[in-house]
Amino acid sequence: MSFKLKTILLFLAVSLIPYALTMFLVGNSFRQELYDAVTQEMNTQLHLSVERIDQHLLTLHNDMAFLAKSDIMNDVYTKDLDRRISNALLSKKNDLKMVGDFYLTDPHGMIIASSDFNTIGKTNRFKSFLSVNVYSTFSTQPIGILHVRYPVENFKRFFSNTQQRHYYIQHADGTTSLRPSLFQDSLKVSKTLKNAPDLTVVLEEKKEFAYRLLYKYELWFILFLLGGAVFIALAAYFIATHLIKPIMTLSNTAKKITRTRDYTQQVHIKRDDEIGELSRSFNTMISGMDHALNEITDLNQEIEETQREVVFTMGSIGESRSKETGNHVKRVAEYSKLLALYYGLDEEEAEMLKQASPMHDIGKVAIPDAVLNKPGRFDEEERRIMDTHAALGYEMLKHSNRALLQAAAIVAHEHHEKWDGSGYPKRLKEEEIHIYGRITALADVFDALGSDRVYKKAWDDERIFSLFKEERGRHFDPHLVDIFFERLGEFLAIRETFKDTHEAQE
Amino acid sequence: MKKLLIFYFLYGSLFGAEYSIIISKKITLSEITSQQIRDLFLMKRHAIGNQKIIPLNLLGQDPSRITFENEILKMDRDRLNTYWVKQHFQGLTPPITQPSHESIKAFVQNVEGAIGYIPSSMVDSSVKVIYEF
Amino acid sequence: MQFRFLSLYLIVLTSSLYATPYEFGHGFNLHDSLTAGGYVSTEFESNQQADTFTIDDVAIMAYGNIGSNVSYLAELEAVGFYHKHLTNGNEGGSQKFHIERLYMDIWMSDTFNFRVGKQITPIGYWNLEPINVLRDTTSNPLYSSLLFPKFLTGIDMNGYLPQSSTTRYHLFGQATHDMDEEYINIPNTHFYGLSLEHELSMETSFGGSIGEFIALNSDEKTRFLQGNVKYDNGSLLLSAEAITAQTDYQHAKSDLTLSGYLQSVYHFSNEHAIVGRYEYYDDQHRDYKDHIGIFGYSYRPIYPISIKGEYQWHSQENENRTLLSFSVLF
Repeated sequence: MSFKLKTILLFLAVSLIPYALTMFLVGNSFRQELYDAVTQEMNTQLHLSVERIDQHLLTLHNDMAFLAKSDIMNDVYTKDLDRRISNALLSKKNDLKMVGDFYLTDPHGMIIASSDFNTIGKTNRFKSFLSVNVYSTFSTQPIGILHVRYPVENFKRFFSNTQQRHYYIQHADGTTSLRPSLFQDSLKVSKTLKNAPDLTVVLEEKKEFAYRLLYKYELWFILFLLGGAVFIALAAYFIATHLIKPIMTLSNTAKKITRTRDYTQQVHIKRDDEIGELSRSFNTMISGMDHALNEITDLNQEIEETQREVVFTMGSIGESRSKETGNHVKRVAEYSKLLALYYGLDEEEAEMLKQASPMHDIGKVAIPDAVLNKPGRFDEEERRIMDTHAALGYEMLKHSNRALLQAAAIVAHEHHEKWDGSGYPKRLKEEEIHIYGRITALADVFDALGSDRVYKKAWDDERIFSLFKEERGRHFDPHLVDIFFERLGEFLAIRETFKDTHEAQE
Repeated sequence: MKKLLIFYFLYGSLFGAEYSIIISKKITLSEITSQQIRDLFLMKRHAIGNQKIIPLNLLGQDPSRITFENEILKMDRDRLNTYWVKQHFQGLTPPITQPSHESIKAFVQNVEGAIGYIPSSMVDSSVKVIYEF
Repeated sequence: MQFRFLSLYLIVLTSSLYATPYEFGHGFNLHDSLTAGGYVSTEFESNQQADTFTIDDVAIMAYGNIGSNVSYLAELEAVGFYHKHLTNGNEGGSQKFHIERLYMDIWMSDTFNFRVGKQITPIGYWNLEPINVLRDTTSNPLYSSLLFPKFLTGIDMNGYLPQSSTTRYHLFGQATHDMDEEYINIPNTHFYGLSLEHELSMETSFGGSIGEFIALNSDEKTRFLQGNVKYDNGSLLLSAEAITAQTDYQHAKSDLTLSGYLQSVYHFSNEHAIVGRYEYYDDQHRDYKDHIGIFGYSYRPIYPISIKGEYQWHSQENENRTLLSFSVLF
């Protein structure tokens, strides 16, 4: 998983949790506040209504008390013969626009007077809402009791009900009255009437209506939550990108250094923090490495040089016993490299061949002088001895693991093999002969023919060329011959550059 | 006692004693003077002997009341009105009223010491007569 | 105070359904324990010094029974509610209500009743009807205003004399300061007396009283002897009262003050009456004597509304005056 993705996920996780928690808490507290606000408002309304009802009940009680004290109550003694009390009760009932009735009973419960004339003379059977004792100046005991039957319908006009919110009455025994409808889910507040303690007024509101603001905002909350998450993710992404940039730069530079092997490259991250520190350390390391590598390269270079010189010197040593000149070794090496390059070998191999080539005749150190430097033609025995220098050279060089010496071993062994298989020591044929051998063969012969020897004088170019043509495919690899003729100019240039001076003999 | 009463009743009705002052039968008081009635109805007195008396007037201008005021109180309406205005200043209110003779009768039966005047024809054994006029 | 005034009338308005219907002059009978009333009187006086217009008395009263043997009365009055000097344009007045009467009556029997509190002194006839609307003249005789305290704060035992149905007695005493001394004619701390009243017939009655009091301001003790007589046959009302009082003056010898009046009222009809009154006043200590003759006319469209006018001749110089008044009792 990439750093960016990890960061994004981490950020999301780390910040979303408190964010979600906060949102949740805020949402909850908003809900609580809304609940409080709604119930407070409901309570205010309820208290107002209840106060009005209580006030009304108080007025009712006061009216009854006043009625109970008035002079017409003396008519109790005449059993309200003239219906003065009943008429007064009726008139009071109408004044109050009341549902229900007033009754005046004697101490035994017999109705003496009533606003409902039909009940006069009967025994009282109903439950009285309020009752007040009636006294007179003629006796110390109450002469009657004034009652009112006041059904809850009377409270209806104090209740302003709507579809979403309504009032109802709850009795002390739990039953309810005046409830317009049932709400599935509702908020309720209630208050007991001060002047009628077994009645409680309840104000009920549909929950969905009460919380309509909340539901409206709930959607917004969710949107905010999602928006917040998106924002956090984006922020995380950008932060991650920003954080990772220097790291990536570092990484890219490291890769580039490795690829190009250019240890002088530096990372340019100018920051004061740890990343800057890292980049500085990286730079220090790289330049350190660069120095080390430079040293190594230098050492390498020296080693190579040494190696080359040693080989060359060894080659020269090999040649020093014969009367051929030192430059012959150089020329052959150059011709070999050129041929190798145009044949298709890479620069490294060609260079190695060039350095190995001087040792092609190292085997000659084991050939006695008498044979080696005989001016005339060799006899059979001499020829045989002379031809052993290839195998001998190989035997001397084959033990080393070094590529250069291995190449030299091959060169020494096969530089006298011929394309048509008539060479020596192993009579290899065509491509059985290692390319090093084929190349060296041609290079050596070319140079030998073009130089003065103990046993002959230098051929002229015409003659060399016609020989090569003849020997193309016989002595020499035809492809190499073709290359020779193609690049003849360059070969001649080399011959010219490294020609022998008459005195010089290495 | 009862015989005397019946005698008075008959005598009274013979000689035009149209109205009777009645009282509850539970009261021991048997008769009363005109002076006493006047003092009671003018609220100068409140009792006869130990018995607290509650005078009752008939509401309105019924002939029984007119007769009562003329014969017993010996004051016409105007004079009576003047009297009660003066008494109002002194903190006295006139006797309580009932709207009909029937209610006077009922009241008298139920309130001990209440007295009122009703036509003698309405008198029966449920009440006691203590004066006639 | 005005608020109480107002609220009382509000109660009245809302409750008149149940009490006896309101009759003018009879008060608002709300129920047995509360009857409310009040009165107002205005006066115009023109004498040698000035012409004045006064809203003299504004009062409210409430009384009723508490229980079968106890009753109470309370009266609040503002005297000199408003006055205006018509000659020099001065205006003024006091809207402060004070307690005129406040007492409780406890009835034990017809022979023994007592009244406790601030009440009218039960002497004579004139003093018992101290308000303009109940009088037949605008003015009060000097007899009633200068000789004895019109109000007492204390206890008055009264009733019919035992074995009598025609004689009433009052035995009263005051041993404290007056309750609300604002408008007492003679504030005192010590006032005792006994008065008797006998009714000879429907028309005739007579009575008398003795008593003594110590005036608060001067600390002088006065003892008095008083008598009164009345004849009323419906159209002619004759009344006479007289008092002789001996005061122990400080730094001077005791001296007598004598005063009395004789008044006759003749009713042409229920509404109209003419009045004549003779007064005599003799303060020997101050050597001040006055004979006063008053002639007046009274018109009452209904009894509780009174419109009166009178003219006074004084033997004392520059005391003659004209008086007019209008008053109402609710």
